[in-house]
Amino acid sequence: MTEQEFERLSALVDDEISEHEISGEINKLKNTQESQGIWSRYHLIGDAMRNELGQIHNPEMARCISQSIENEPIVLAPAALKPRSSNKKRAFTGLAVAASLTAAAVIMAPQLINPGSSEAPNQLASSDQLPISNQRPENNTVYVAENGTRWKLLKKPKVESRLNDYLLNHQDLSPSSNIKGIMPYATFVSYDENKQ
Amino acid sequence: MILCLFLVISQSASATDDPSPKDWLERMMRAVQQLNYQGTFVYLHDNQLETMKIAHAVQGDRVRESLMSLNGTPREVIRDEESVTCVLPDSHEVSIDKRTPSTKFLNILPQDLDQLDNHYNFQNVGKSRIANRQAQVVVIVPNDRLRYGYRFALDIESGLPLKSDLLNEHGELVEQTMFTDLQIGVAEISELHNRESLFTYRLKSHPDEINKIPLLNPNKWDFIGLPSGFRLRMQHQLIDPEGSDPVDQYVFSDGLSSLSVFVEPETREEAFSGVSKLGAINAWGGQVEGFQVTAVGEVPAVTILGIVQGMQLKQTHD
Repeated sequence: MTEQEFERLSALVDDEISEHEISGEINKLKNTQESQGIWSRYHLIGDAMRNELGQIHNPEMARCISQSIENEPIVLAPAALKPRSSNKKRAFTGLAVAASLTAAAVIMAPQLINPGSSEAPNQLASSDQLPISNQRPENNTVYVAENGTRWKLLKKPKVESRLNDYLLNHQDLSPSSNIKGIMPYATFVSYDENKQ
Repeated sequence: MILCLFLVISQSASATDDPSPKDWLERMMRAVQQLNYQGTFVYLHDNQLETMKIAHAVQGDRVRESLMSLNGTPREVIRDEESVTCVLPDSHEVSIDKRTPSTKFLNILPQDLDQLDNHYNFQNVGKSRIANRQAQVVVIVPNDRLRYGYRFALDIESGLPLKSDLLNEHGELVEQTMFTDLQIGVAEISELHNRESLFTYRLKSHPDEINKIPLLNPNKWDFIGLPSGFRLRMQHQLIDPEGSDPVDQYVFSDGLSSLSVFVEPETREEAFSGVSKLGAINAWGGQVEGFQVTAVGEVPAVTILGIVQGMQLKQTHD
């Protein structure tokens, strides 16, 4: 693979390529074993990170993500559907990859944990183009509804309560409290219509 | 005569020079803290739209602020110099966090704005009209992806932020607040006991305790390779009123963006492990060298990970 191809694959991982290039890149990814190897190594980095991080460690993660991409390419790259500059300079690759992998974990994990709900983000990403799935028409808010708490990927109320305490404690000391007054507490006061 | 001349010069200077973005932000900071105001604003986050009521009352030295959700279950935060009180639904509790003068905000002072130049650009980007008021739009653009950006539409008359946008590391909107109605010069916040009867929430209070004390061992941890611009600004121990294990809090900031790292003995049955997100807030939890570590802040996930991954227990040489 050329350096340019590495860059492009990395950009795909980081959601940094423009809309019209996505399908081409994904086709290339499907067709060359080398690309798939690199793709899974990128995700192994993420796995390794998550292994350090704790709960989201899953040895099958890279394979699952690869499969998800083959089945539902649109799911991984909803952010890339927005227009982006394709030649944007990539400031710090290592961290950028880490960031996007974390983001991928946040986006992908509900689907891996709840495979039955995997079509919902697809609908969300392209609701203006696709007919609503006739299998699960009511469940469009999969991210929020399937989480047990207002925090994404957090299901235990006790853990949420503790995290809320920490957040409150932090907000009180945060410079943004100083610049925006009590406004930052909006996150806290926020009402979640999916959690009743 | 000289004084008159000086006044004439300074007046003509202020007439020709528009306020700089930093002038506007300084004015905003003063307005947010010093004015009496109340109003209704909409709050957009995670594709969810809500309405909230805000009030900021200054009476002599006493400042009281209230923020209340107008949708669904009533939730309210009331803050004064002494405490932050959260009024939450009955399944939760009302918690009162005692504030101590030594650990008030990491205040941003006007001179600090200049120190932010290494990591942010400040720009005036035109005028706007919000809540039927004329506004100046000012943006704070980060130089890298380790912090969020801000876009404020500031009331030309008062300096108050009529609209605030928070932009993530990709320049995408993650959170917006916008006033639909704002009254300046008035603010009404009822006393807490009125709310108790109104919503019949339980109270859990420890108003007489100081809940932050200096760390027993301030040199316990090394934070290696902090993300650019972030420094350890504050550290203390939180005393849990329920008598469970104390928690050490480390606050990191670049002067504007910030996050806290909480460290406690690994004893809880249900510990937070992994990544999570609430609006623009990112969080991470996990074990580091046998301690339970939780990091929370209004910064990109990569910044949080950058800090917790550099945590090491200091080597003792004695």
